[in-house]
Amino acid sequence: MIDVSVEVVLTDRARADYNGIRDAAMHGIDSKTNQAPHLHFHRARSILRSLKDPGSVNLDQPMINNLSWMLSRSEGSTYVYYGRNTYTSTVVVIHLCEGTTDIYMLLAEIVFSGRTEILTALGIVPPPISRTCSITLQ
Amino acid sequence: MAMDVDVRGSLLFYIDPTVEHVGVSKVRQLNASNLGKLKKMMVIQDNNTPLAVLLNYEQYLAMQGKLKEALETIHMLRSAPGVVEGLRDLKAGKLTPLEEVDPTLK
Repeated sequence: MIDVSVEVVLTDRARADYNGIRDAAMHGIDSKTNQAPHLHFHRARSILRSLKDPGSVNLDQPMINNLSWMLSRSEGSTYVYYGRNTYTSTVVVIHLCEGTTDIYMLLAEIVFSGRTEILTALGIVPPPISRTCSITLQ
Repeated sequence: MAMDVDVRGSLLFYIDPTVEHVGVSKVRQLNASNLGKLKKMMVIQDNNTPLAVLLNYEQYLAMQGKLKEALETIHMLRSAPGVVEGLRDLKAGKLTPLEEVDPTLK
């Protein structure tokens, strides 16, 4: 049986991201109240481990259209962006970060910020925003 | 690379061949056998009023996948500075094996 292992490499940016996540988790190791850094670190490690598994390609989440070569995996609020070279069985991790898990909240944020050029570029027509407040407090 | 060109919004005479407008009576003819063979998306109408849309399971999953791709792309673009920096490193060959970054992930 041929052992097909995936080599995972990190860009300098991704390495800095990972080290930052690890440092935050290590500094907060005694914290009983804020578990978020530790969880973020644990999830980042879990995703990086999963990238080494050649049988987990089905977990790759591509971006849309011209960006479809860029892939992502997420666990909770931890996101890892990477590219995959199937010929050399290499994964290049581009960026690790935290983000919102509520995608509709994210859309609402973009629409209300008025910076809708991202949506326009993707062919999504954002709804018009009324400039007058229609909420009446009782 | 093949590029999709969306002409639906710009051509007034465009007829989408993947959509079929049918009457309610068509729904009564559907069974397990022909539901599995649906090729087109059906817009079910009554007196020219659209009432419902019927599409096969794979088509629905494809639509859901595209929506997820779009939303994930928006998410990625929100963290664009980090992604752009990572891409610059990739172009410059600034790469380190995972095992060197963290030997415990061997």
